[in-house]
Amino acid sequence: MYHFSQNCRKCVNLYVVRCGFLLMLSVLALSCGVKNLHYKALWPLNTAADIRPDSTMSRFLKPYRDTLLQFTTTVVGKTDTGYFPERPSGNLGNLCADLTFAYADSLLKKRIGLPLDAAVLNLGGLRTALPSGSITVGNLYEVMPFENTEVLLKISGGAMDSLLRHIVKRGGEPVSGLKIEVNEKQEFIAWIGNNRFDSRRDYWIATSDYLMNGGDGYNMFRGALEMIATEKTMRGIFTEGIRAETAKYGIVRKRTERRIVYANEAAIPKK
Amino acid sequence: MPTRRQFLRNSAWLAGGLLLTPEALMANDKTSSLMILHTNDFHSRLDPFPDNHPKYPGQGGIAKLKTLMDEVRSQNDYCLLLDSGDVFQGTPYFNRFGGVPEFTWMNMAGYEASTLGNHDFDMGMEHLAALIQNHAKFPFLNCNYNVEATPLKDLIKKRLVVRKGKLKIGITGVGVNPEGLIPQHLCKGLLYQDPVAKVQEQADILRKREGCDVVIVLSHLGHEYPSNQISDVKLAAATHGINVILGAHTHTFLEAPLGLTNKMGETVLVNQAGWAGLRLGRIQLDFK
Repeated sequence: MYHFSQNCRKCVNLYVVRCGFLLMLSVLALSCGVKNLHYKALWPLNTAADIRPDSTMSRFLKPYRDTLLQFTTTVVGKTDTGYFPERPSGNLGNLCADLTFAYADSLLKKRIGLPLDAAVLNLGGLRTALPSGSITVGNLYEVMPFENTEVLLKISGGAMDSLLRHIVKRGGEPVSGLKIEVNEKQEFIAWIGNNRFDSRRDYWIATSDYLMNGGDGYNMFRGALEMIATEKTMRGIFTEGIRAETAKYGIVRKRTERRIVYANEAAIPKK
Repeated sequence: MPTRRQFLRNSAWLAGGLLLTPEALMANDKTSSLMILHTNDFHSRLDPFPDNHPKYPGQGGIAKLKTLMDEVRSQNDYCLLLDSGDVFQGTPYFNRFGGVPEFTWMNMAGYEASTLGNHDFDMGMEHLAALIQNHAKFPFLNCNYNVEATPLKDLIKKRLVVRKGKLKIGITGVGVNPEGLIPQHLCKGLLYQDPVAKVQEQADILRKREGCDVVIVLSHLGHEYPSNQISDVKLAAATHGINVILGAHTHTFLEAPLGLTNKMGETVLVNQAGWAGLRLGRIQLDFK
């Protein structure tokens, strides 16, 4: 019978030990084509913080890590809370969407003298949480590892309607300049800026080239009326935005407000 | 899926009670036992998460994973180390070194096969093809992507047969629909085919033609969806002749592998080990 080392035993929580112990003992003795085959359903081992690191692997990784540390340790800003990627809305999504909005808004005003209407991102693109404390270049690579760039799209009112529906169907996405209230019947009211959504007008939306190309089912962007490519990476925009906000306020603002609200939380679509 | 988990937990308590005595008395005949170790969605997580990470402080990393793997190997004569894709993308290691340290780590750890995840395409197919050719000492398995018209031609195998002692183990791989997931320019010419039909085809070949004792599927379909999208849970129910499905894509943490029922009423184990090397999944198969 296989058993854990002391190290591993420490790292699994009590609940898992309780369930897992019996699971381990239980042989799911059910054949599947093969004669006399028994499955043992074992709980996974946890690479917890206190597991001893293998020295060969540490040596192998060191030169790579040293190269990365030359740029990933640069501090770009400061937070006093963790930022988490959450649906229907969360502080990390709010932050990233705001920084996307701010960059595009100033660019659009400069280029054609119009303000941006909203920014929309995909939560799946924000890969992990941002810590509380000093924010480094490395942290931002982990949140946004992709080389996606920011784009500005002018879309019709009809496409905007599809966009809002898609966001509601996905259980919420990171948005800025936009508020959506979904009622019990999954019908919604949307405000863009301070105005109710109007399907008769066009909207300027900032997003990533991944969504522009139909990623995560955002097909409505494919029919955009106009496009401005910024050629700046989303990560670069987040990095500069966090740096600028920290310089201005001493800290990144909290942004805990809910921008997408479902009346029936239990009915939020699970992505 | 509280119902299934509940069921599994209840049956585990029951089975644990029933089998405690014979299991404890039985001497462990190592030659008749195979330990499958597996990871998924590694996402270039060579280092542990930073100590100030709000969710996984100090957890993960290849140095700790290797310690766990060595420990299991020292206690089992026959181990199989497999991965279910999305090795890449997630830390600056990938942006800066383009996947070389990830594949080198997998060679050093002794991975015997992996499959294609959607993020493995992130630097394009030419890049991936060169990496597989020059840096991976293990095969990439996939049976539902037709890559004949792409740079990956001849670099992806439909199936693999591995021998462990007297055991013959057949492995295949299956990939998620790239539509709306992988940007089109990164997977140009790749044809996605029906996972159920293609996996069944390989399972039949592995069982009947190759005479495998065990059939394992490395899947990047995702564990389960509220929609009717094909998933590991659906694949398990719609096929036969498969013993184990090792999943990925949805970054699902399971307390233990799920015992599901296939088309013929037989058991299929479906597992997924979270992501980022935070877990090392384990399934033990005993032949008595």
